[in-house]
Amino acid sequence: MDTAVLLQFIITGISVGCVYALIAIGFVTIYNITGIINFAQGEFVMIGAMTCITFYQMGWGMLPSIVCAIIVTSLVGGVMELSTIRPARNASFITLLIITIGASTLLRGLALWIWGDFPKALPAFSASKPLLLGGAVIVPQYLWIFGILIIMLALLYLFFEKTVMGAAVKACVINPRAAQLMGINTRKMSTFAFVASAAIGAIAGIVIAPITSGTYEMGVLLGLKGFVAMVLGGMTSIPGAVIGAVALGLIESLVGGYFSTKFSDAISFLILIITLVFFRNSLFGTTAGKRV
Amino acid sequence: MRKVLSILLIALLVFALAACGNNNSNNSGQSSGGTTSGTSGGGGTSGGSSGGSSGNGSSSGSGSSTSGEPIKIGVISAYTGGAVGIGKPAGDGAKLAAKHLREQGLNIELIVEDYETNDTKAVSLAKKLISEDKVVALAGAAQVSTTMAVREVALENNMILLANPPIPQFGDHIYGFNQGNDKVTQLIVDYLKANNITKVGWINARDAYGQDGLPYFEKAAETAGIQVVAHEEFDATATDMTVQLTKIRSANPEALIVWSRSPGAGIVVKNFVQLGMNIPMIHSNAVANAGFLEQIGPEGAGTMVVGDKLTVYHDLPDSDLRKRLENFAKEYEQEFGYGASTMSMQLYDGLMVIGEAIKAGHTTTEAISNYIVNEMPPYHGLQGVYDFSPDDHAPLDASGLAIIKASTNAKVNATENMGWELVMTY
Repeated sequence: MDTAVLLQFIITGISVGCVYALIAIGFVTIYNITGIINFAQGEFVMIGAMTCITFYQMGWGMLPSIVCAIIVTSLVGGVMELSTIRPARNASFITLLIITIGASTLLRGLALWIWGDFPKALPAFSASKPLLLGGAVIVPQYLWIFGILIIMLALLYLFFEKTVMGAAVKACVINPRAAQLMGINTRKMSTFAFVASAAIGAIAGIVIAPITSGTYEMGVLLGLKGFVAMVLGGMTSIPGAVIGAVALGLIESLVGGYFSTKFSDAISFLILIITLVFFRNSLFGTTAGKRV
Repeated sequence: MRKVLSILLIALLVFALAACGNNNSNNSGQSSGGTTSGTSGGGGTSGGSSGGSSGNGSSSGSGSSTSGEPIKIGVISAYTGGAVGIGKPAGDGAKLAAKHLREQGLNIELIVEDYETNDTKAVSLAKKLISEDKVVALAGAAQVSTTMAVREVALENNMILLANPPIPQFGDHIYGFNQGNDKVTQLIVDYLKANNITKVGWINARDAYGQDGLPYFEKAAETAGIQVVAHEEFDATATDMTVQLTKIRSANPEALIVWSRSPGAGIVVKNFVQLGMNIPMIHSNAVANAGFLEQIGPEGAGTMVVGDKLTVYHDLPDSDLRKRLENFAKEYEQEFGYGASTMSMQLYDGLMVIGEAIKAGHTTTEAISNYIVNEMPPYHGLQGVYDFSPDDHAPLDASGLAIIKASTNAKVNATENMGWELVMTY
């Protein structure tokens, strides 16, 4: 076993895992606050990437493009919640899920109409010469992804543990009736959840775009992988989702590297099914559903 | 238990949705055009933009030497939806051809229909064109699956079909205007031979388009004594191919062949450059377009692609063909506002062939078709030479193909700072 090759597979696996982790965080956030699995999360990633590219190609600087892209995507998230989720507030879990699938298809169709089907490029955030580590290659953009992931985890921790708003959100999750009795507006929480997840998704998309280019359907596979990571991590735990995502990336990379690349995506979904069937209550939380 | 069951069901539903999404992108097997087309049919992503360009193709022409009824030709192409990258240039090429034929005095009426990247709609449009508009020939239909469906309708009605994607089967009155993967892979093999390369790696997208290339290549390579020492595949929408490229690199090939549409092909280039690989890399003709150049950027300079002489006419020696291609490119850009590409030439040549038949005095489907296979001398189109015969309905030779490379100092830029340079051609 060539160690440089093994190291490359591991580094690639962790890098790709960090990408999945950014997306999984969005899934977990909405699930935690509203109990809904939002299958349009991948589309938030896509919209973040595409709007950032559009602004950048219009001549705005990188930083304004990023900020505006996040704002635009958050608005999309908010509008989606207000128009499709809020009216169906009391519908069943399955209905809401299917609503999010419908929204994802709609957003994809709009993206195709607005941006066409050619991939669009975004330059890397810093010099693009890859770093060598023991014979394996790390692309600097992945270091950005890793860094932003850490920052986001830190911010989320601070939010949930140290702010009043965070406490309110946690209250909604633990006991919505009691939260309402304490004067917390649970409906606004739902909108907040979608806006926050859309922003997180946008950040993920923007950071990924220099590596993958932006296309209207980039959200499909990424969203599914993020979902698998969430399930692996126990549905409700953000650190769990991150660990699940990195594990997923590593498994894909090592299986692809030493076995065959012909099945790398089938492996992801196989893992999903195995997790749901055999590990219902383990890993870091519970995979059973929970409604707010 | 119920909750788990429902989650499982949802996961399977989602998986199926993903598979559907990828399946539909499988069907647009057209080799040129760098589209990531997908989601047709039930996905309903034909946006909301200009619906059906019915009657788009302008009314009957001026100056008819053949008096009376105009000769109607129906074009079925994708002006909206995922296959628009192939469909729009194909349809526009046909429009330009009709314009030229009318300037030559022929009374042609072109009816252009948008099938919105929906195979079912294409079939009903074909039926309408045949029964209501009474066309003499059909042309289209951007994607392999769509064209095969329209082909069924054409066969049932003894109608001519000028097919632009590389379909696997033809039939009575069905004619192809695409070189086909055998000629594309043969050109690659010829390049490898000219450069004394005997061991290659092969990487392709795991969709219908991507998997189509290798069998042809292996056949051509075997005769030339070239061996595929590594073969890897990747999901067409995957975001990182470092694992596959690392494996290929370990097998020490002397060149890498990539068979995928965008964006996968572009990501392969990025990863290839990041890994510091520097063997020759040749892509299929799916990415001989400006979108690919934009995606790979200046770091991807040197990447080779199978393209055509039209893309690099500025590097060709002076000749009649070069003048024809240059005039075509300039007039096309003026008429439609964007650069011509391979697809633009396909139906242009197709309509011109029909034009030849009409000039020889034939105005019915039967007569035109008979002329094409039995009487027409080899036709020198923009893409190469066509020698139709009863046994060969897709005779386009390889003379129009060329190996071209992405370059930051090409004579003509296709994007802001990159263009194509000629490497090798017949």
